[in-house]
Amino acid sequence: MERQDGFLERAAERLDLPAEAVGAPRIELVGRHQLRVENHRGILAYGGEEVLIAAGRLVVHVVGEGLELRTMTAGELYISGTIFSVGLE
Amino acid sequence: MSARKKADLLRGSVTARVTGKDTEGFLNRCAEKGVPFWDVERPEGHALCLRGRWRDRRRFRELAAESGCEWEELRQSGLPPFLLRFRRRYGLLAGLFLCLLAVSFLSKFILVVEVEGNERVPTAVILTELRRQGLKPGAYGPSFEEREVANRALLELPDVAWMAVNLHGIRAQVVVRERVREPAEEDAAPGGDIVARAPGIVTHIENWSGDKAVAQGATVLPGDVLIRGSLELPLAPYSQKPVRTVPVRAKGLVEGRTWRTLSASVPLTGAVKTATGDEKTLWSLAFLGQRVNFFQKGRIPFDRYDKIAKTWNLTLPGGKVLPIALRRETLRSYELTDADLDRDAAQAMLEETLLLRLEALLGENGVEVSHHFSALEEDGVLTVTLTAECEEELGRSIPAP
Repeated sequence: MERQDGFLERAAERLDLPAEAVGAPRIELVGRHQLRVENHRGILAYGGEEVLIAAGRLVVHVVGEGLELRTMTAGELYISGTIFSVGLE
Repeated sequence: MSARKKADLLRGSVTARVTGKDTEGFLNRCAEKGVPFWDVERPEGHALCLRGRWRDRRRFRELAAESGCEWEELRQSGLPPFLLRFRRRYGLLAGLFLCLLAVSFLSKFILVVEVEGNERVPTAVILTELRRQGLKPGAYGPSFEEREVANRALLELPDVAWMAVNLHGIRAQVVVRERVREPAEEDAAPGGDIVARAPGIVTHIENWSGDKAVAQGATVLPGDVLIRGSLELPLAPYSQKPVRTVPVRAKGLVEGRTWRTLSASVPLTGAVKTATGDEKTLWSLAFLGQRVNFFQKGRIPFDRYDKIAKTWNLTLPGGKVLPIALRRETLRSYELTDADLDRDAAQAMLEETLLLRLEALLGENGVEVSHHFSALEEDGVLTVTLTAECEEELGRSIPAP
C-alpha cells in the first residue's frame, strides 16, 4: 500500500496532476488554531495536547493545547485549538 | 445563532460519552461508516465526549460495541426529542390538535363585525340589516359575497348612500357613507294663520307675511288668530272695486307673557320591595349568537325576583370583542309590602318633575319668570300644582282650512 501510494504520488507529479487527486494527504494549517486534513486514514491517538493522524505512508503529529476534533468524515477532519507544531513521521 | 446550532435545534442532537480502550477506533469507524459527529473532547484518559445526530443514536451504539467501547448518552437536545416527550401525553396532543384546528378552521368564520363611517344611522340598525343579509358573527367567510351583501343591504337602508364590506380574517369591516339629506322644504301650503298656542298677553308682534290680527298688549286665548294668512291688495285711489285679498302663508314672531298651570299626583302609600335573602345564580354561555344555558328552564323557585345580569365578553388585545361571552344572572327574591312614603320627599319629587315638564313645554326660546307650588293631600294622594309666569313664543302656524 505504501509503495502504491508512493508510486501514485510520483505518477501524479510526472503527469502534472495535483497529488491529492490520487489520494495523497492534504494538510492545511490556518494560523495556529485550525488544522484541516484531507485524505486521512484515521486517527491513531487523540488527546487535548497531542493528536496522531494516519495519512497513508505518513503519520501527522499535531502538538498543541486544548486540541479538539471539531468534525471528522471518512475523507476529511478538522482540528481546532492552539497548535504548537505539526510534524510528519 | 449559528447555522450549526440552528441545524442541531431542528434535527436534534445527542451528547454522549464513549469509554473504552479504542476510542480512536470508534471515531474512525464512525467516519468510515458516514456517521457524522463533532465537538469531540477528551475529558479523561479512556473516555471521549462527542455530539452527533439524534437519529444516529442506534448506529453510534452499534459502532461503539463493535469497537469494544461503551456508549453512554449524556443529553438529548433539539426539536425531535422535545416532541417525543409528548408521545404519551394524549391530552397535550389533543390540545395541540384542537389549537391547530381552531387556527385553521375557526379563522374561516367571521367573529367580529365592525361598522365605520356612520353618524346619523345607528350602528345597531346597520348591524341588524347586515344580520338579515347573512353577515353576522359565525358566518362562514370564504363563501361570502361581500359586494352582493352590501348591495342588498343598501336597498334596505335608505339613509346609507354607499357601503363596502371587507373581510380581514375573522373580522368583517363595514364602511358606510351616509346620504346627504335634502334641505327641508318649506311648507308648501298656500295659506295659513298664526294662532295663539296658550293664553297670554302679547308683548311683541312682528308680521313678516300676512296681516297682524292683534295688537301689542292684547289678551289672547288658545286658538286666537295672531297673524292672519291673507293680504289685502291696495286699490287705486277712488276705486270703486271691492277690496281684494290674496291668501298667504302667515309668518312672523309673536312673543307673549303666559301663565302656565301644571299638576302631578302620587299616592302616599305604595308597595315596596323587601328582599327575602334568597338568591339563585344562573350561568349561560353565548357563542356566535347562540346561547347555551347551564340550567334548566322552569326551575326558578321565586314568584317575585330581581334579575341582575353580568356579562364577561372575550376581548382580544386591542379591544375587539369576540362573540363569546359568559353570562351570570343572579335572581334575588323579594316580597311586596305596603309602606308609607315620605311626604316631603314625594313633594320634592313631584316639584322636580313639574319643573322639567315646564321646561320642555317652553322650549328653547321660552323663559320662566317666576313660579310657585301648592300641595294638596286628599284620600291618600298628594297633588302638587305648579303655577308659573313665563315669556315665550306665543304663536304657532296652522294651515288654511
